[in-house]
Amino acid sequence: MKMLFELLTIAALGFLTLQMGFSCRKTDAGEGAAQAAWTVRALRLQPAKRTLWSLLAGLPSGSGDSAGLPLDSCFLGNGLFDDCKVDAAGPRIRLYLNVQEDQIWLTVLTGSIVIGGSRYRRDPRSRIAIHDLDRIKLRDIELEFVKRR
Amino acid sequence: MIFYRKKHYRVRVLTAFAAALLASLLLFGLRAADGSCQTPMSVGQVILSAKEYSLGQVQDRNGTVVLQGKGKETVWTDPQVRSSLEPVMGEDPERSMLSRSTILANCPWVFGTEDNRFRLSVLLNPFSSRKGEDVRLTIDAGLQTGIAQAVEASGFDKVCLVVSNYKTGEILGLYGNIMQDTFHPGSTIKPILAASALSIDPDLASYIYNCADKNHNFSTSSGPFRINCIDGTEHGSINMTDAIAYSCNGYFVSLLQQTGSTAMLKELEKWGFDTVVHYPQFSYTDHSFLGSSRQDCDYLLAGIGQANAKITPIGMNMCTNAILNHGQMENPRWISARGRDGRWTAVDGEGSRQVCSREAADQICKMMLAVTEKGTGRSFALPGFAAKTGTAQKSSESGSLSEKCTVWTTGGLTDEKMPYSVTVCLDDVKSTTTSADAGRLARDILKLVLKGEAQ
Amino acid sequence: MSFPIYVIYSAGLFLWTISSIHYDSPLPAAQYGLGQLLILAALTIMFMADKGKKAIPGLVIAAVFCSLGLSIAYRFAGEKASIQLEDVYTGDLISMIVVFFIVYLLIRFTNIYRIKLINLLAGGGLLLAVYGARLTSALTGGSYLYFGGIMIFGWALLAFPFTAAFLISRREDSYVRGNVRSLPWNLMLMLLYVIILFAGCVLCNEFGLILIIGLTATVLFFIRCRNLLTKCFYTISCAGAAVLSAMKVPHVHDRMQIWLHPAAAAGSEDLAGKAESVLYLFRHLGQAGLWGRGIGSLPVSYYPTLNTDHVMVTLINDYSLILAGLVLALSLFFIRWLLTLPDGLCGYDRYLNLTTALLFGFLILVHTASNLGSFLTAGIGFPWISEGSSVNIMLTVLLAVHCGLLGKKAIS
Repeated sequence: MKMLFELLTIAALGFLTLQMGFSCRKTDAGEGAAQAAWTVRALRLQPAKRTLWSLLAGLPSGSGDSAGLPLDSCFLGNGLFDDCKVDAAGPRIRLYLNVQEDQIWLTVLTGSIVIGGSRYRRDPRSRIAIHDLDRIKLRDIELEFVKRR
Repeated sequence: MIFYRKKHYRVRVLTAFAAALLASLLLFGLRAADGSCQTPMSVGQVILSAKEYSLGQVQDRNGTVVLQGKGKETVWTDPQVRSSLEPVMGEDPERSMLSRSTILANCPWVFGTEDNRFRLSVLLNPFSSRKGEDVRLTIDAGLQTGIAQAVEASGFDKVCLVVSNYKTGEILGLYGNIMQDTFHPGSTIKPILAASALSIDPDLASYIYNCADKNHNFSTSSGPFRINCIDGTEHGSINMTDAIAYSCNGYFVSLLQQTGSTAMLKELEKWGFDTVVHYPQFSYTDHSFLGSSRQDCDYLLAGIGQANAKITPIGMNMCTNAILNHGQMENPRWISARGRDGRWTAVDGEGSRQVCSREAADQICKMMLAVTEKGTGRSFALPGFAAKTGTAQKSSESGSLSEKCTVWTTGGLTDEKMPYSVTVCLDDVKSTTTSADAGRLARDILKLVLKGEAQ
Repeated sequence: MSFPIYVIYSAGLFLWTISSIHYDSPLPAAQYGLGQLLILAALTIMFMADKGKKAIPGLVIAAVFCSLGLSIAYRFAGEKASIQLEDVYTGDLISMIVVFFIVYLLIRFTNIYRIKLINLLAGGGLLLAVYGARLTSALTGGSYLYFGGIMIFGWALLAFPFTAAFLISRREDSYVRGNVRSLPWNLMLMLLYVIILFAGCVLCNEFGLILIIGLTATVLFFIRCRNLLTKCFYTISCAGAAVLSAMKVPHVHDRMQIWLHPAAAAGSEDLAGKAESVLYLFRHLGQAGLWGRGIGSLPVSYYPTLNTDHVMVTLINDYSLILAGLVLALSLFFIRWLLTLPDGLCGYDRYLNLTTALLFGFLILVHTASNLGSFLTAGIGFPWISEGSSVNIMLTVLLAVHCGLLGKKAIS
């Protein structure tokens, strides 16, 4: 009898495991992604200068004119491993964005950008406040930061 | 123009977790398959295992089933085999597993300790019963029956008996607790002493001793110490052959003094005296010559197999085998193979060591023939039967000598086509029982062995 | 569909367990039955209450583990049969269910747990418990593994997720040396907190806790830290500390020896007893086979931690390798379920959930690896299957936190 109960228990557990496996997707709550608090819109100022490298390591599918920024910190630039990748030509640009509810703190880690006519070069100790509808220029692309309501 | 890469921690964390779990399972699997972590079970674990498993089959050398498990019970097939083998079989693991001096304690697989249930048959049939593996012994069940009958017919109560093949070390038959019970060897130690002496100094083969009254006082550091021959006999001028044949105590005590104690004790260690020897298939009580004593008189008395000289029947048989086998002591064994469902694998237990020179052993072997031809073993002579008798007085609880004795006969056939030896020990006998009685029993057993061989 | 299958499983397990081991007293069976009914009742309530059915898969898996815990508790009841419910697993189960519903409701319908003061109290309370355990034991001569009647392991499981989530999700307002490339101060504080906690755990000799907290904090640190150099420096420091402790700390060194060469350690006089826990499974795996040796084949007097730190050995040996494999597969689904969360929750909730999932994951991983001899023996139990009221209750709190977060809506 013990063996029969054992078989019953193991069979039921096996079915349960299989059922868990199959129903994984159906009952998924989600990825747990953070909600975007800001939108960054990109506007091309000059025609894109394509190199072999930029063609090979270009933007993945799903890229567009704008992207959402959640309340978090991220790297924005034209490098391969940047969190927010921008299709900007020319030398390497890397910015550190500390996205908060009321403003974005921007730090230039590599390259330079232009904000309101002023050029900002590499300075890890300096934090630039970006407010709603502010724009920054990266060589051939302009980015506009829009706070989501 | 712009793309925000979402951070999917779920995928990364889950992948890392699954990979780590898989790695730990893999490492476990590799170690289990490798077998390097499969250390032997402890005594407690074997006992637990025995409760869950029914005993596997115990077969004799010819494949006859001697003992097997039926459920939780064990069933002997022959009551006479049972009476002779039961003391050393060790079918109750709670008693036998603590020492390795029983048969089954040395083949724990019969209790299911090495069962591997990762077999397809078990996977498909979870209801399959748990049964230990089988073991094939070197013992001959037919011979065991004969031994049991012979011992019963002899009328003696405390008998220990070993029959073995001195070329291979296989134990063919036994009776009594041959592994643990120790007795004074009496004169049966003399061939061993003689072989050791000849290994130290081959010229001692021509040593002559004048066995006269005045020469029985032996000097020791605490003054003269007297040792007589049996019944006060004086053998006169005697050589080594006659000393063995007529068992002259004075000769061998004198021989001990000739060789010197340090050299002799060192030689005796090779035979297993006053040392610890390990054998693959069993453990037994080590034999002693001088033991912990440092007294000269004990040393001299050990020369005639008394005082601290003690040996088990299996120990005596091993020493006898060494003399018969040109000085080479084969590892004794009683397990030949293990198997399941008719598929057998040989069990390792072979090995040997040289305990004395070949020449010395051969010389002593010839001298032992004289024991049965003209000496103390005339009454149980058999062609080619080289033997030695011995009588040892037992001491009482108070330490003084009692009236009881232990009598021995140990020897074997010198024909290497029939390399059989037998050691018989009758313990707690009155002085009316002599070593010749043990010798007659030994001869009868040898005849049984030869009869079995002829069949 | 999972609910009726769970009912069949729990019934089968109950019948299997009580038919394998008989006690003179009907008390253990009655306690087992009561515990099983309580689990079914709690599961039924959640089944009806959870409209989206997102919490059900994880709850069913937790219920599977709790049923196994009840079975193992019954199996070892004979050793310490007690009429007092607080001494047995069923008593713990009552506390677990009550605590679950309280915490679930708090997390789901309120934001009290996010209050700064509460999180600071949790963090400070954990440090107090860890250091207090050592001090009070020195004064009272008691065990330094307990503080206020609760294991410090349990305190850590309860408080650490909230403290870690609080610190990590803080706004990055300043950085070490004012350099954005350096660590933000909130992350620095988290590291310092963990180091102070470590020191306390070292004093209490809680090796298992050091391992779990260390692994969890490392993963959180790596997720949050942006600087590659800092990550490398951190890795080298941790590796160096681990090597140093393996060489200099006697009991860590012993565990290392046993892990790397268990058979050789068995031959050593000092380590033979400790190596036994690793070698047992290898020695008896053939006898256990795929279908196990039967519930009750190993006495706890022979092997004291069979119902706690070595419960996986019990599962493989007694219950069957197949069942143990299924439990591990379910653990994988459980961790996956723990990592799912609705989109759009705030950072604190997300990190709280992540820390919870990491703690569960590491507990299961380290327990399994230790039991199989694939890692150092760490004295860590399997969630809910191992006995241990403090830890099981705290794990239920974490389960309730996740279930509560599943029901939360995105921040507007």
